[in-house]
Order: sequence, then C-alpha cells, then structure tokens
Amino acid sequence: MTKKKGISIHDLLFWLIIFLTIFGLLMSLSTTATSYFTIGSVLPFREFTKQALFAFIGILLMIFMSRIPMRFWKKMALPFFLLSCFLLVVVLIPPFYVEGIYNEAGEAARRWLRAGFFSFQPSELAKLGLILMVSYIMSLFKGRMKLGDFFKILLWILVPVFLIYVAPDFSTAAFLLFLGMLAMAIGGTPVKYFVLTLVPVLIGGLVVLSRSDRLMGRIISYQNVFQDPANSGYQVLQSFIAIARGGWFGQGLNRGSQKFYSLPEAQTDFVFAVICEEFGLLVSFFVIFAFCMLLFLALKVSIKSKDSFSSILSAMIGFHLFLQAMLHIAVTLGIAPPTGIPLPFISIGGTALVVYLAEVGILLRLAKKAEANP
Amino acid sequence: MKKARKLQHHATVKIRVILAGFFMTLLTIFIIFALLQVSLFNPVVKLYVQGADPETVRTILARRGQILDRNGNILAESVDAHSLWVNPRALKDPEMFASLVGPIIEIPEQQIIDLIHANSERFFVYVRRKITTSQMQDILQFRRPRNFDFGFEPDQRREYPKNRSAASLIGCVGTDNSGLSGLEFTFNEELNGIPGKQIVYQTFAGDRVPYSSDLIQKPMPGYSLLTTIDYTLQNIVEGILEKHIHRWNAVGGVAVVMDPGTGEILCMASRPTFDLNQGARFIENPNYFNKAVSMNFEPGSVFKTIIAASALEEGVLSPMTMLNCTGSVRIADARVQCMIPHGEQNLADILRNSCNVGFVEIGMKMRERMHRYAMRFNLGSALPIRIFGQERGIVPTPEKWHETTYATFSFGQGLTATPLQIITSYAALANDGKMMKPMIIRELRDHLGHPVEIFEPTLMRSIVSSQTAREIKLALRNSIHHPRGTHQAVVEGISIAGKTGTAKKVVDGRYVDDRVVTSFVGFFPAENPQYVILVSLDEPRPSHEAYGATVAAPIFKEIVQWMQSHMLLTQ
Repeated sequence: MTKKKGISIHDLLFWLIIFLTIFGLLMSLSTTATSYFTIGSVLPFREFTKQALFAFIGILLMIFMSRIPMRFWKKMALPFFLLSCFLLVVVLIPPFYVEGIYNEAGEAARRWLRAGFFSFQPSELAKLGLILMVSYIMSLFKGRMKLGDFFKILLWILVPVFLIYVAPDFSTAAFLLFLGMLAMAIGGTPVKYFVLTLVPVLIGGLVVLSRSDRLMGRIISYQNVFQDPANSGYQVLQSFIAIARGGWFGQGLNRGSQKFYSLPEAQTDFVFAVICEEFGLLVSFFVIFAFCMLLFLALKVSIKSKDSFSSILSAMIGFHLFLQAMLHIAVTLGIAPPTGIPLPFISIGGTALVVYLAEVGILLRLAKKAEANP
Repeated sequence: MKKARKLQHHATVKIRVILAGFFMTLLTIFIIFALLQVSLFNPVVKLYVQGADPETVRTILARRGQILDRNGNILAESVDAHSLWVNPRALKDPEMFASLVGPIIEIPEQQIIDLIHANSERFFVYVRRKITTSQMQDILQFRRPRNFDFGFEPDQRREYPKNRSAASLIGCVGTDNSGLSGLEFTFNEELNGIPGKQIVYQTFAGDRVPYSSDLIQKPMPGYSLLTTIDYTLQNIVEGILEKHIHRWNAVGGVAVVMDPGTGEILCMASRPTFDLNQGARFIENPNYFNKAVSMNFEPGSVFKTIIAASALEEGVLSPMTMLNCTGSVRIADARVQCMIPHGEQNLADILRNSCNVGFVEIGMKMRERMHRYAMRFNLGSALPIRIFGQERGIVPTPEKWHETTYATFSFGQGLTATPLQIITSYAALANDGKMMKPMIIRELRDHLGHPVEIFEPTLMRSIVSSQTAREIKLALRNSIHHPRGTHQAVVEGISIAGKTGTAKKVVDGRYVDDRVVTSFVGFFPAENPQYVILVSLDEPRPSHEAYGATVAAPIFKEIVQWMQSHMLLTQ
C-alpha cells in the first residue's frame, strides 16, 4: 500500500500542541507580568520563567513518551493508578500539602503537594492515572460485562474521586467522575447499567451539594451575574466585560486591562477571557478550533487503532483535554460555575502542563502506531 | 470466537467514540453561540463596556520647587505622597478594611466605613490624600492576592520645616498643589513646573492600568525660589517680636529688616502667625495676613522724616533752621497742639521731639509739594515687588485737600501706608537718596540647583540728593543719641538713626485714643547704613503707656543687639 500524501496525524498533532504551548507561554507572559502591580511581586517574570521551564521539560517528556510502547502502559496502568491514588492520600496529610489554597467554596483545600523546590497537584496525575486504568480494564472485557463488574469498576473510579472530594475540591472530583464514566461508556458498558446508576448518582450529587451551603449558593448565584455584580457575580461579570471589550479583533497583546485588578485569577481560571480581550473573537475561535482539532485527531487515532485499549485510551485523552478546555471556557462565559478549571496548555501551572504534554506524548505514540500499517 | 468477540467489542468502542464525538460537536456549537452572545449581543454587558473609557490622557505631576532662604535653608519643599483610594463596589468587608487602615492614616474607623457606604455605588473614592510612603507601605501589607480593592495614586505633599516662621510670607498650597497665598501663590507658575502627559488605560471600573508605556511628555520640575530672607535672623526677630507682643498684649506686630543698599528684605516677620503645615484654614483670615504689606496704617510720626527730607530737598528747611514751638498753632478752624511747648528747635530737635507745631510750619511752606514727594517715595501706589496681598496705601490728592490737610499731612495723618512702603522710604534715605527696588527673591534655580534667573538689585529712582540724605541721617542720628533722645533704641557701640511713631487708629471715621499703632524705624550704622529695621506693634495695651519709644524702640534695640553679636557689621 502506498503511504497517504500530506501531513500525518502524528505530525499535525505534534505541531498543534507545540503551537498551543507557545501560545500559552505568550498568554502567561501577558497575565503574570501584572503580578508586579496586583500583588506587589518584585520579580514580575518569575512565573513566566517557571512556566517556560516546565514547558521545555514537558515537551521533552512528550517526545520521550511518544517512544514508549503500549505494552508498557498496559503493564503500568494499575501501578500508575495506585501511585496517583497514593499521592492523593499523601496530599491530605498535614506536612505535605501547601497551605493557603482555597477551593471554590472558600474552604481551605489540600491540593498541592510539596515536593522539594516545587509543588504539584496530584489530582492532575490522577486524571491520567484514571484514564489509563479504566481504558485498560474496559479493554479486557471484550463485550461481556456483568452488573457486578460495572460496580467494581465504578468503585475503582470512586477511590480517587473520593480522595479529591475530601481535599475538598468538588469540581475536580466531579470532572474526574465524569471522565471515568465516559471512559466506561466508550469502553462498551451496556447502556442499561448507566440508566440503573444514573438515578442514585443524581440523588447522591444533590446530597453532596446540599451538604455545602456555600457551594450550593455558588452554583445558584453564578447565574445572577447582573443581580449581584459586586459579590457573587463579580468574577463572571469581569470576565464578560473582558470578552466584550475584546470585540472581534481584541485590544492587542498585553493591552487588556481586566487582568489587572478586576479579573481575579486571570492567569489560571479566566485566561480565556484575557485571550478574548487581548486577541478578540477571531483568535478565540481559533483557540476553540485548536481544541476541536485536538479532539478530532484523537478520535481519528481512536478509530484507526487496531485494539480496544488504544481506541479507548486515545479517545479518552482527546476527551479529557477537550472537555477541560470547554469547561474552562464555559466558566468564563458564565455557563458553568467559577470552579477553577485551568485551560490546558495555556493557563499557568507547571506540573499540570507537564502532565498534559506527557498525556499527548502517549497519544502521539498511539497515532504513530495507528498510522503504521493502515 | 474470541477474536470475533474482540472485534465486535472494538466496533462497539468505535461507535461509542463517534457518538461521543457527536455530542462534543453539539457542545462546541453551544459554546460558540454563548461566546458570541456574551461578546456581541448581551445588552447589559454592552452597557458596562460602553461605560468604560479605556484610554485617557493623564497628567503627571511635576515636582514643585523648593522655597529657600538666602543660605539655602529649606522653607518649603514637596515630598512624595500617595493618595489612598478604594473601590467601594468591590470592597466586601468595609469594617475590616477600616479597622486595618484607619489607625495608619489617622482617620476614625467609623468615618471610613461611612465614606465607603456613602459611595457604595461608585468604583473609586479617595479615602485619604497625601499620605507618606511609610504609611503606604504599612497599608500595602494588607493587600492579599484576592483583595485588589484599594490602591494609591502618586501625589505630592508640601512640607514646611519651619512651621510658623514667615508663614504669611511663604504661604501655602491647596490639595491640587497650586499656591493659595504668599510666595506659593505669586510664584506659583515658576514653582509648579510643567506637568507631563501620559496615556493611561483604564479598566471599566475606572481603575488606572498601572503600566506607563505611552509617555507623551515628560514632566518638567518646577524652579526653586532662593529668597532674600535670612532664616536665622527671621527666627530671632520673630522670637523677639512674639515676646513683646505678649508683654504688651498687642493684637499683632510687624518687623522688617532690609538692606538699604540692595533693597533685599532679610526678614519679614508678621504676627499673629500660624503653622503652615495646616495653613489652608488660616489664609483667608485677615488677622493672619502678612502685615508688612497688608497693614494699611496711618504712619503718624514716622512720616515726619519723609516730610523733613522733602523740605530739605526743596530748600524750605536747612539743618540749622530754627523753628519755634509755642505749644499750639491754629490752622483755619482747627488747632494743632504739642504736649508741651518745645521752644526754639533745629531739624534734629523737631524730629527728636516729634514736634507737630514745627511740622505744621514746614507743611504750610511745602503746600502741595508734600504730595509730590509722597508720590516720589512711592506712597499711595504698590511697590514693584511680587509679594502676596500688598496694599497700596491711600494718599489723597491735593485737589481734595482742605486748609487743615496741609497741617495734618505734615505729621503723617490723613494718609495710610504699609510698613514695607515706610521701610523702603527710610532705606532710600539711608542709601544716599536712592530708592532700591525691594527684593524678596534673589534667584530662581532649576531642580538641579543651577541658577536660571538671578535678580540684581535695581534702582527705582533717586528721590533726594545725597546731600539731603546725609543731613537727614545726621539729624536722625542726633535725635536718637541726644541726652533726651530715644535712649530705648540705643545700643552700645553702634550709632543709630531712627524715628519713633505713635498713631491713633481710626475707627468709624474718628481717632480713638485707646487703639494705637506704635512704630520705630531705624537704620545703622548711621553714617554708612547697612540695615534698616522697621518695627510696629498693633494695639499695644495699656495704650496710655504705649508709644513708639516705649514699645517699638526696645524691640528694635533687641534686634540690633543680636545682629551686633551675630552678623557682620562694618563700622
């Protein structure tokens, strides 16, 4: 057979990610140089330098990962999952977590693990661990799944979800749960099982929500942006203003003003609003398009793959990054409550970036394998 | 069989993947529509964005120049200050904010809370203007990453290290840093410099985006004023004046020291005074005006020297002319009296005795010429000096004079003058009849200390011949040093020339006995005068004991004594 002409999925994916990473560095430069004014940081480029360093390490890791054969991951799925769960436990123990971090309900959250000179979020690792784990388990079933198996897998998923929930970090826990169930669904779980569990899950969810009044209030009031612009609607209103100020063509790089005092956490939770303000709608569409492209390529790899594990895993990697991006954008648009979901490759956060790039490294390997002999 | 199952499972996976992908497409379309809605079509967001003025031209304050004394002592200077503002809309806990910030900026907590509540719909309100850098740093420690609700605007604060000294002369500035009174006002333009311009970007809330890439024009710092004031002397004179005002229970006082050769004002003390650092509330009160230029008083006897000099110049009088005082003289339907008949007197004697009858005789000979000389001595018109609040004095023109006016004018009644006009006239006599333009500023300096403009002593006009000036100096000297002269003004080792004055104040068109202005104007050394000093006390009490000789002359003496031991005098 002759090889198809044009650029391969692998290369397209690779350059797409490189592009997103570089664009992310540009945005981190724009959003963190303000720290000099907003929090009085004396080293305005410190955050950017850190991010650039992590991006470099991440890209190297991505290339390295794209050379690791899939049988390694099949072997490592369970140990890797257990390791990430172990780290989630460690982060709950007092001397190991970074203090002063607050969750969306304003409670002290144990999210960051102290690791020598840097700190990282085990929950980022847990996402990859969960995807690998569930993909692997689902690929084992080959079409026959009993209800008991369904609950067993669900129980596996609930381990990291629970650990993150008690951190407490509700949005990440919910996102992880959704990813796990999506992986199960893609992996061929009979639809009736889902129907069977959906009702209790919904009830359980409501119980969780009502447990935290502040969280509940958060979710209810985020829609009332204009009723309460000074308090609960503040962040989202600022985000709206940033987006609207950008118009079609934006104010220009580093010309955004919302990031200064008005828009909190502009460098992480609301970076998309800054993109809108500084680059305008056209570039924002392009960013959305880039994530759609990422998903499209991942799904293409999934369909071309020869085995179930590769198919589920590649699709899930695509879904993870795409959904996270959409969730982030939904927050800036006031569709989802402001929960602190970073935009992959673009929001500040070194370890998260490294994990995402490593994840794409696995996808690159899968792409190469899928394209090898069509 | 196993393989078939495997393939079947894989097919299921692929179908599910495509199905999920389809849902993701729907999600993307939804997100794009939401983005378009927020960005372009949401009317409320539009309203917020239109309210924002993203670019404005902002002026950058130029550093206001200093006011210095002749030796470079700082009388007024501007220091960096910061104006604290807060965004009441975003400040979630005003009580907390007030309790943290209140003690630092010295404002009661409740006042801050009220301010924030009163402006709760606004995005920007000043809490306190012009706080110090250390106060700002104390406040900045409360700024946590999630609490960006307050900030600081660069500003300047005017500081007056000498507090109450020469307050009305120096003057003060308003919150906008422009001068309201004194030198701060008259030299406002020179001191202010040229503000710079900068384009700033604002958030919709009106917060200035704090990076300054677009500087249109750099600010040009203002010039500093090097005044002719000698702060050491000023300080001493003010102390002496204060002491005597207290002793005589007077409502105010003036003391001016001038260099007759150059017209430089070395000291200009006015009482009552105030602390310039809280000056704004005093400057509109006439009591606190600069009395050296604003006190429009009837000069009385100190004016007699000017009449005597005019008469000498006109040849109406010579130093040896003898005038006879019988104790009273009748002019038209009025009677002018001396306390005692002075008898036969020469020039020095009538000045020493301040003999009204003698001066009436001179005045009747001088007639309208007295007015001409008053004009030449620059009475009745403002002196060409840039000084705040200068009065012109009133000298009625001869067309309006009655027969009695010739008499009263000759001994300094029926006209008014300011202390500065009087001392400038005496300085002219001390300086061989040449009137020098009074000087308060020696130099304008730029912010690096280089002189930009140097003011040279300038001759205004020659008023009398040097012969006349010499004769009058001698007469004034003799009148002081005479055994029955104004011994209160005599300082051992220095020859002093001078004249006392006691004038009743006019209230509702009538002279009142119990409200007087007592003065002494003198210069020394009499032969080659280096300094002219005027001292005036306003309403010393008890008034029946208050005369130029008893009230003002001792002040003059104390000043001269201090100058004798501390300043360079050439005999």
